[in-house]
Amino acid sequence: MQYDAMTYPEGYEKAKQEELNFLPEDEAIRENVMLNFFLSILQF
Amino acid sequence: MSMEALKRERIQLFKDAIIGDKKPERIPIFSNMWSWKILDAGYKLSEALNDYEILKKSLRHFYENYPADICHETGWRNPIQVTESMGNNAYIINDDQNSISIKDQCYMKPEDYDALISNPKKFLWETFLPRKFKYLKGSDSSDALRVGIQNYAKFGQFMGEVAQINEEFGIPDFFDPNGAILHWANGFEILFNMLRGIRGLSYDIRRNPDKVLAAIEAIDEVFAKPIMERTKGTPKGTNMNCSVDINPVLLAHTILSPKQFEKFYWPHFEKMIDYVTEEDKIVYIFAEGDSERFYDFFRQFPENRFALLVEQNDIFKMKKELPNLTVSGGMPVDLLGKATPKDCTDYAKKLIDELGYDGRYIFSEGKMISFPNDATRENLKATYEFVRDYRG
Repeated sequence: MQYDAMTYPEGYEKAKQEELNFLPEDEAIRENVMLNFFLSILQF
Repeated sequence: MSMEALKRERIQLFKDAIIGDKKPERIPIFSNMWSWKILDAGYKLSEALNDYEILKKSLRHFYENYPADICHETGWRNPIQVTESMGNNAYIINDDQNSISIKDQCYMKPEDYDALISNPKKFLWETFLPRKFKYLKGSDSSDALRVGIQNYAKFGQFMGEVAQINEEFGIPDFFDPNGAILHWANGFEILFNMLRGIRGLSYDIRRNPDKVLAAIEAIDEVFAKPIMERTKGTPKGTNMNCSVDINPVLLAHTILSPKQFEKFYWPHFEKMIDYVTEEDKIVYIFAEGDSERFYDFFRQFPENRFALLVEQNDIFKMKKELPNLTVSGGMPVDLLGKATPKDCTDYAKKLIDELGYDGRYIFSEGKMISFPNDATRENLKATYEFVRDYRG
């Protein structure tokens, strides 16, 4: 399924649910991983 | 000795060198080792940076040959598998010169400050990232983002495997992964390293200082504050599973005068001082470039909590001028690369005798070891073995 991932907050939230679905369904965990990814690719 | 016992011993060396309740058993070695180890293991940079297996072999080769107490493998010299998958090709690898460089990227424009300040996450996600990663543009950006996240997960797996290799060789984690302040996660460093670049931010602090200050505050709210919140409820006191608790890297200070440092950077350190004092933590600052003009600020760091590695400064002078700190660094790569093993061990002895007489010294190189000429195998091995065995 394709969607516009680079909108905020809609695309960000959808990406968090769709692309991090290998993680437990815990909002805090997924947000933490997403934030780390976000900060890392800003830096990389 | 078991690897677990060796790891515990190494952790204690760093604790003793910084906290200073007792002299460490010996001076610990923080190896300022970067891409040199890839070349020393017989690989090209272009091979290693595209293959995590080669990077792991290089790390093993290093541990098998050089008795460092810490080799700081952050993986951050190898993000190209993540960045290129989303369309950013800023890294330039030159196998003939054995060099990796990165373009001074500037994807945030001066007129973007208001958008950044009003909603940092929205600006960075919607505007900044698609500028930086060309495959993230457009209404079907989810495919590229998915690939990027998958590659980021592989990078995370690689870092987990690095941790396993460290365990095999009795090497501890250097800093607490749950530490309150990540390497770069303060607003000024993010503006410098990620958003505006050297040139852009140098203009901004002169032309729009109030916007820079507001941007720092807004960025910290998004990235630094959640990290601080996450640590609430963790035990007070230094984490005995890591060498230090926090390992900030200073790079953005290199464009600042002391007066500018006071305005744009020092407030971040004031928060850190409050945190480490209240929570009883210890800090190892890795300061790139020239730091001497900020010593008046560094004198305000509380005693027995901070270590400071400097690159371009006279470490003997620093020892005298900053008695509140544990000093680190000082081993010249010119010696490691060009002199004899005896010259190197003589200099290492001088460092330990003059800087470590009170135990408050952590051996390291005064430059990130990256190029073949930064060290010879014989010199590095002889030097580390000497430091490991010397008791002063």
